[in-house]
Amino acid sequence: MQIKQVGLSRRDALKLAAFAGLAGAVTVYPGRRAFAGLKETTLVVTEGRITIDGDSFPAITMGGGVPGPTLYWREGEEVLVHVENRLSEPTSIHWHGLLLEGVMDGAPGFNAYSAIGPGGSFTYRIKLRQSGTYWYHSHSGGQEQRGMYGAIVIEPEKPDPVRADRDYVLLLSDHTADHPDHILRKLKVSEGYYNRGKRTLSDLSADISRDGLAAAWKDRRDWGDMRMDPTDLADVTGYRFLVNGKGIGDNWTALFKPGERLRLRIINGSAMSIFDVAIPGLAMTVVAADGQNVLPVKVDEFRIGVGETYDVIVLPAGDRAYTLMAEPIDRSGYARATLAPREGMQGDIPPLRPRTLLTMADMGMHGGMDHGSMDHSAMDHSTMDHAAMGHAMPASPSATDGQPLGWDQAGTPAGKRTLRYADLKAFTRNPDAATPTTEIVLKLTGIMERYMWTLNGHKFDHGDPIRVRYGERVRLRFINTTMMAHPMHLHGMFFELENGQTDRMPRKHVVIVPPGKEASVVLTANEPGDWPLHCHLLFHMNAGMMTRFIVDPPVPAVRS
Amino acid sequence: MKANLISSLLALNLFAVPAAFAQHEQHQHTAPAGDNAADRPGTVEAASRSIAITLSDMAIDPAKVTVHPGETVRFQITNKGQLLHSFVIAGKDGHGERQAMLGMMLDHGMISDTAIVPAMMNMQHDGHAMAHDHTGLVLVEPGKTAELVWSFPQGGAIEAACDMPGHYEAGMVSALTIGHDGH
Repeated sequence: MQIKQVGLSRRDALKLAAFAGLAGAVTVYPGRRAFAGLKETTLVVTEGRITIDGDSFPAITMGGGVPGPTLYWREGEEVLVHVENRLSEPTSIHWHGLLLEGVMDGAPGFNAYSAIGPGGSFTYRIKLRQSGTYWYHSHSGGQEQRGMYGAIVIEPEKPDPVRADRDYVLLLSDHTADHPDHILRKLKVSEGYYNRGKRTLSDLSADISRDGLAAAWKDRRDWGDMRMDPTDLADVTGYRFLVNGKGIGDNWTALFKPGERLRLRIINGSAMSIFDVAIPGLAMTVVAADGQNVLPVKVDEFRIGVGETYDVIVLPAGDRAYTLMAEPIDRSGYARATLAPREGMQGDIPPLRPRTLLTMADMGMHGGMDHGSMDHSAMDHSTMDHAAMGHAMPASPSATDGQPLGWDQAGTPAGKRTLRYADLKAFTRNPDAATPTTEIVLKLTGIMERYMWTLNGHKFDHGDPIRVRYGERVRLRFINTTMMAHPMHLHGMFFELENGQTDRMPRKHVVIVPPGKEASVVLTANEPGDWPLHCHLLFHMNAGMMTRFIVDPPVPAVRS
Repeated sequence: MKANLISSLLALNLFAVPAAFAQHEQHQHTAPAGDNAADRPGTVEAASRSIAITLSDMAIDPAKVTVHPGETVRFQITNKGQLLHSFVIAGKDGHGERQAMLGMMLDHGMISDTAIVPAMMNMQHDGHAMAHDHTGLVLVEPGKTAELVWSFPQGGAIEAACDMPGHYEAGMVSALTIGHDGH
């Protein structure tokens, strides 16, 4: 029994505080107010195994399996999580999306938190100030990829605006038998190592016959100058894609009775994979993004970046099985789950959609970017003939030969609606409508060929950290100068996504910044700490695409 | 198609108007006769009772309503939420159409997530005259109260729901039973 999850009575909690010296862990409320309760969980981190479609692989397990146990908590509650490290290397657990005290955030090297050494343990204490769908994972090296991830569901204190008959977590992940350290080594040697769609000489011949020699050669030379490939959607492949740790053959199944209302909490806990998610034959109504309620929006599919979560409602009416498809954007495979009235059923599996081909527009040439502020040297834009570019490219993304063009094109079937960030509206109005007083520009930079991923041209802790005052209203502008999308994640705080909404900007902790495009978010810096801000693609973060976002503590009032 | 939808929408009893005005509107029309399967607006005089309905973000209270076959009921609907809601009585297949209509009204700025936009509602769309239609649909702004008088058929599968886009899915539906149980 490696997981304990018990609610403590008030007396037990007081005893615990007395005997374990955790005096600060217990708050005794005066008067008639009920004791909020302490919930205690133990997570043992150890070498274990995962079995996918009958094949067994080494893995790191938390609480005995992959994924780790789903932690069901309640807003207002104070939780204790005892983590025991039985690995031969340091480990850590980060509570992705949770508002908490810095040292409890679990990112080694930040907020005076250190990794848990081999044989060591650490007790996290979190007073839950929010509700919704979140997750937890290792923040050490490549451990997350080896199985250290699990879901968190926090029930709201007030009645949930959405009531469902059944509630399921679907935690998406990507699994490889390759050790993460080995992957990073291979990437450093040859970035395109895993690019299964790498363009070849015969592609060039086809381009020449289609576009003419000059245009095709020019196009190829531009891509070469960028040190990137137009098929660069994902830089690691060879993955098996999982739902709740299960493979395609395992067929993880959610049961329903026809006519019931199902809430699916979809979490992208992948290391490197952005997915397009759809349930053919069922519309999905998105009711929460990154754990925060949004005004319900009905769609047929959505794209989910690494670290993002979406809660959707589905109303399966038929006495039949439905397939949930999660296709990584490079279409190197898929994850599936089944919604069915009975065990053992399965729905049709649609053919994989074509992968999109990136265009010059994805290089930011037509994306309305401020070129003046770009660090051209980082990407060798200076050698490019801007005026001549783009003429050989289609005027707008289209699928003339069945292949979608442009990063944001998912190959969505005609008449189907895909979720856009602009569709997301916060369920309650934004509390702080103040205009930002500070604007911080963060350029997402990199040299793919050498697998160098950086922010403002600097590897983690080589550049200056971001530092803001407590209470300061800040705009963060992410300018993606690279050819890949980067899901940017901030610890410790939500930001509001500037998606065109005025007073209902959605609160998120991850924003996907598409290749060659810009995204901006605003936040009120009201969580003092030294927070990681990084690309959530595991190998990009490990290659250096991370910085510190420091919120100074409030200035104490001067006493006279 | 689009213009027709909008013009027919304009004819609906959409506003959270004072009850007297709502009644006046309803008095102008005689219910279609001999249509036993369809539900239809009723008159206050014919109403055998009132049922208070509370709309919130995102629920309808009570969650279950039972009416007698052929009964006329006066629904008094209060919106205690922060969002614009609707109260719609329709057959199970009828809600999708209403949801599409309200979605289109949102897209055209006739309504927002929180309010009716009178200026946009009164616009003439493509010169179409306002058609007269009967739909058991009333829009209720936050904090407002509205009324809907409805004559129920002898039986059938009917639901009371909010058809603002996504609200039905989020759970704003009340199971409406035509029967004698409980009365």
